[in-house]
Amino acid sequence: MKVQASRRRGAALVVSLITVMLVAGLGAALIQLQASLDKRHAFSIDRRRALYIAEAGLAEAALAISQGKSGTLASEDQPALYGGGLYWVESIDLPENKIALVCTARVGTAEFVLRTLVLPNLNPVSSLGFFGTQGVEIGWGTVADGYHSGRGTFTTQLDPSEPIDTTGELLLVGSNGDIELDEGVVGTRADKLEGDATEPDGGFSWSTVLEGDGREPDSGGEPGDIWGSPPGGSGEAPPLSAPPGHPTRLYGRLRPGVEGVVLSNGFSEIDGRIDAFRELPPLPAVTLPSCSETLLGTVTISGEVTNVGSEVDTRIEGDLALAAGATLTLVGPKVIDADRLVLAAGATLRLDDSSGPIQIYARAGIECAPGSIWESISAEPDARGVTVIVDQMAGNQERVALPDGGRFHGVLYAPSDAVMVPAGLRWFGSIACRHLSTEPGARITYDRRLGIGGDGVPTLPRILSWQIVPVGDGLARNLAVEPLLALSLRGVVPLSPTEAAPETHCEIQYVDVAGLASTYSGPFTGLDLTDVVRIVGVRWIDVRDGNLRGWLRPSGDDPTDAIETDRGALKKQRTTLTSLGGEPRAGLLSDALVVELIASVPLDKLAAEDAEVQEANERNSAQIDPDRYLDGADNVKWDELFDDVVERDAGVDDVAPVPIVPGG
Amino acid sequence: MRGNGRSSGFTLVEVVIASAIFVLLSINVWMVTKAGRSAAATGTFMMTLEDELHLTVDRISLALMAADSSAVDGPAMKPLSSESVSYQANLGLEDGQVVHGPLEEIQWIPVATEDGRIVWRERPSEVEEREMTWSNAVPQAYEDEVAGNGIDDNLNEIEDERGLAFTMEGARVDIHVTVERVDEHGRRRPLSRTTQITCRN
Repeated sequence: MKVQASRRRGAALVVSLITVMLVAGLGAALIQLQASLDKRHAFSIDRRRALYIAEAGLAEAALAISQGKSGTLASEDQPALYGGGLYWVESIDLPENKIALVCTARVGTAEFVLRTLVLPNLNPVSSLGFFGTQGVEIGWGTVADGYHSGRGTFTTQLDPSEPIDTTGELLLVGSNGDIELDEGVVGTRADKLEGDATEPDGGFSWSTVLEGDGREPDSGGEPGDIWGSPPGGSGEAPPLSAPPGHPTRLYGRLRPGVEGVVLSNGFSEIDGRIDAFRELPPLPAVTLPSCSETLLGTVTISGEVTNVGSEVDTRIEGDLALAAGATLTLVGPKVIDADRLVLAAGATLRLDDSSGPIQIYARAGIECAPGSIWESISAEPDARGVTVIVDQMAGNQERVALPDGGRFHGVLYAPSDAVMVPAGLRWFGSIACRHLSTEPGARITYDRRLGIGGDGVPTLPRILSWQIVPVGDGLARNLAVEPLLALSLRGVVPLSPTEAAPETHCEIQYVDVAGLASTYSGPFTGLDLTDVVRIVGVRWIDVRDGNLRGWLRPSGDDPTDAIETDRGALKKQRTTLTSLGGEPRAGLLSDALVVELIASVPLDKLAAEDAEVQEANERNSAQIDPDRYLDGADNVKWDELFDDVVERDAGVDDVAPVPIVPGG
Repeated sequence: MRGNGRSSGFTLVEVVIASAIFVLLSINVWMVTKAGRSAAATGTFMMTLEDELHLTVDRISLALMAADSSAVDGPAMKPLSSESVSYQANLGLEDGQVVHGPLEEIQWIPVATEDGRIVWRERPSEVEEREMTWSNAVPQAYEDEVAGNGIDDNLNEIEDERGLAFTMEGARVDIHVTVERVDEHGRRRPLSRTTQITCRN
């Protein structure tokens, strides 16, 4: 009996143990399942966080690039800390100014890698190549191609396989309207668009409209025909005016406007492609510089002269005129702001931008007599950029007459004017204007290097491509160890994002308070900013190879008087408004009501003609509290008012008028 | 036997009381266990559902973020929507030209009266077509939307959107996803998420 009793107790123990094991096993399985779900959930969240950190890293790198740095940030050995995770960016310089950025971000359990291709500081004007907002007309026999002066001079990049001296590389011709290839055939756009129209005299007649996809919509011929020489067929070919010995040759990309087409009679040879703009590229407004010295009256140059004025930035209250036989050499860095640039026959304007950029503002146009010359004398790879700007003006203007001789390397920006490139003027660079045409036999070459950098207009990096680099499961890698923990185990302290860029030393060219060009070399933080009026250019020492990177103009406009001008406009409007008087305007004599009216009118209206500003009489303010802008003595605080009006109008297309209560 | 002076076993009252206590405790334990098990099952169920929703939305978002906005086809502007999108990823530049990846497609496909699945395809209708199901618990209509009545029932500015719906404006794509599964009580449990992405290329 004792043995049996003992057996029973043992059996109970075994049963209990089995039960406990089952329960424990079940519990462990549940915990494991839950842990697995938690882990997946955490990974899903960490993956998204890592994506955001990677995007932030790329944005930081793009900012560094816009400052002329390489774009490299931190490193795998010592990453940067941001948003509770770590990141580093590797950058690779590619041909044609492009930079590839690869950002790796690690946070929690996930690693995410993004890759982008960036064009630094794309200039919205010079990157357009040869551009006419209202159309482009390429004269018969024009040869147009492209090159990159960063790779050497034009002659070193010639393609020996081409029958003429050309690189055979990418040109860029664009327009908001049509691109017309003038082949000496008389005809209107309507004639060409009709396609099957016949010549009135019943002779040979054909035409080709090249659409964005390069097909012949109207002629019905083989698509390949349009690139070749004039097609044969019945009839007699129309006579060509002043044939230059070879047909028009265009190497590159033609971009007509959204509704535009490329009009051709098929004589031109195009080695490239046609694709219309999807949306019209915006052209920036011309902002005139604020010069440190002013010369009164027209400045006439005779004989041989180097530079005008004693300082870097010179405003001429009149024309800059070169008399017959005169030679003016402008040496960069130099800014000239004149009413007009006038060259008499036999005058020569020489441009040396090897030591700094040259900007010529010809507010009211350029007038170069036949026989005058523009001559760029810098070696193309050393050129820092020449920009000639004609101020915009309402209506279609014809204020630009270029010299008919010489060799120009730079950019011409004349948004309101028609520009014709003479056959005798060899043009390297780009032109953006209202209507662009080339004389028969002209020779133009687009320099893609000039598409990068400020040169008087604000610029931004452009992201050309954005990719997720597959790692792990294809989207992100699952990390075994928390990255911050792994870093601390290695004894590494992560960098802060502000210290992530390895570049510390640079060379800065600037205009000092005396108005002269100066150069500083050393750590960026060592520059005495109190002595700096304007940054001309900056280049950083690339820590990857110890070499200086290329010069880069800072993004943004040159300093202008715009702010002061607008402040003045506000004060002027106060005078206008308070002088209105009478009923129902009597109330306007109160400063409070003047402020109220000014605050209710968009800034651009305030800066416009007085008559327009008087619309303020019809408005009141519901947007800005006028009491803010009056001090205890009821004086207007103009600066605060101006700043708030600017801030209010930023990004607002139109400020809705609010009906005024008569008499205030 | 009597000499021991001790009775073996329990009195009836003791047994009854003990049994009653045991039953009460058992019922209590059973109820607690049942409630706990139910809560755990519901929690696990919802977490699984949420996980599936997040994973699906993430996959769709990341695929479309890398797409070239000009090569995205399908999504309509609100109040219309589409249950499919085709796109091409931007692989970078070569000789100044954008290099696109193969055509890809994300589509909601019905599998039963009320349910469907989200399918991703690469090179659709070609010999090398690849196909992957990203979720097989996507209902015919988005949460709180009644399909086919022409009304925006759930007040999200889209009419009659499906369990997978795309709307697009410029380079911005709105992705609306509902996943729905039947829980242990036989109830249909939907979970929805709307996310907005911008095509980066």
